[in-house]
Amino acid sequence: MFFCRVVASLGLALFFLLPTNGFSAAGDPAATRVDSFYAALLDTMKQAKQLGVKGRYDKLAPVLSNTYDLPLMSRIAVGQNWAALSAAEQQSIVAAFTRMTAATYASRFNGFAGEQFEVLQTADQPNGDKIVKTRIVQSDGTAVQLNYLMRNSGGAWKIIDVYLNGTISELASRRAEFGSILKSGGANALVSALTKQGDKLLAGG
Amino acid sequence: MLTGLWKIAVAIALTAMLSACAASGPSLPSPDLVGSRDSLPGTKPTNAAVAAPTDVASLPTDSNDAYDPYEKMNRSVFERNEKFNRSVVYPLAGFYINNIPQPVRTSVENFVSNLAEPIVFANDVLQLRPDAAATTVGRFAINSTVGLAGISDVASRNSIARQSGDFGQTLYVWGFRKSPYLIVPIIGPTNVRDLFGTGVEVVASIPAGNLLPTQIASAANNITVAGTIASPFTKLDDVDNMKQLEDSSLDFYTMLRSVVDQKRQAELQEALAQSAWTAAGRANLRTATPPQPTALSPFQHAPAPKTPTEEFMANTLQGANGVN
Repeated sequence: MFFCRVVASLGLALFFLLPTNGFSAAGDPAATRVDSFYAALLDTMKQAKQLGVKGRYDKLAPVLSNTYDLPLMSRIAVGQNWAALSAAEQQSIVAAFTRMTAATYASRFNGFAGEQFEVLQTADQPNGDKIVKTRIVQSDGTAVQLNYLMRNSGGAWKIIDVYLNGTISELASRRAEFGSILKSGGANALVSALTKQGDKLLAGG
Repeated sequence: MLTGLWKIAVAIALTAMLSACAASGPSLPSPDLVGSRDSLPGTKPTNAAVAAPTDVASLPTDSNDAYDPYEKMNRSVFERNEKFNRSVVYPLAGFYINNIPQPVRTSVENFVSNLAEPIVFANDVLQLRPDAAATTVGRFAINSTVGLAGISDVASRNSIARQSGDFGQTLYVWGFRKSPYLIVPIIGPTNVRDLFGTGVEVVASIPAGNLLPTQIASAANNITVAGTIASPFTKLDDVDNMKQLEDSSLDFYTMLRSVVDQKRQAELQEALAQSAWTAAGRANLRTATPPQPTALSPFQHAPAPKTPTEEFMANTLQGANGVN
């Protein structure tokens, strides 16, 4: 059995020397949403130098708001403390998190080096959510897998979490961060940290 | 020709130097990091049979946190390691990146990663993971021949992915589940079990005369991990991703702990799902079908179960709709 698997590995590797094709997710509304997001991101990357960090922020902020359910992500990241916050505090956190997210993209995607964004396939979840599997291929052929957990919110599919290599949840990491700051300084400290981070990213571009 | 050889030699030397630095702080974390979460005090294991909470607000904030009983001490060591990273690691990494062409860096990483495959294989055997062991043998054979002594990762390009397999993971499969998060001076983030596992691997390499290659391979792996975990927050073409992850963090200590814990949990759960030591692993092995080529992972017969993070987030998101 073991030997057979070794032979199978070797045989398949030698036989399938050409890259295989990805699954098509054409037509799926969630996949289309991610496709549009990637198109906007690529467009911004290609104009990155002319736009500058502020220009990239202005271009990406509305796209990100349409693509991500940032209010829901804020709520999840805050966790059990959410209900105890005032409406004003909740709104401040959502606004600061939204701004910081756009600032992060504006700061990081500051050029284009031949990256390719590929939407591979969509998987339906039991609760009606979808996972859109994608990968980003660098110019040297190195690929990074990014999966998006998406939910239909008010008729529009929006991203509610991002999984790197299928396992590392960005929202889980943010939740850990938010929890740590809320524990030590409360809602004001969280808004302050988010705002400061946004300022820093927008100033550094 | 001589210029090419010189660059390769410099690349290898720098990689060796980076191995010391890479292992020295949280900027380049080892994959052998955080301990099991399934034994954390105060947390409840999640599974599909448990009804999802009706509202996220009902969940304890720290349900998904890593087990970090020594946080105060760890943060102190973390700060000192960070200073070392800023003064030594980042400048050195910058020099390496700016002076060594990407194809050469990739080739060096492939070469040294290939040297580590025997250790991966040994641990896959110890974990009774026949699929992973067989795939690793196949990778090593292909990359050592068609891949020109490992310089080219032909196997990965043909969907034969690198398998996990280290002694910390083996100890986890054998039942050593609970292990607190630990930041070690110079070495960086790890936990008691995985630190012991790394030590065993280093010692095991000495009789074979493999100590130096193993260290280099480990460094290359660390660099790869650093590049991988930071990608969603960064643009991809930069290799100093860890610095960028730090720039994207509100609380870098917590962010890094969460990210490395999630990555490690995925490796540990994958091992359990594939191991004949466990009932689930045996069931998966019995139902395994012959490898079929697909676009994603033709050799992943027994997909790993959801990690604790995935389950937690799935349950959390299940009941959360809208903001107010």
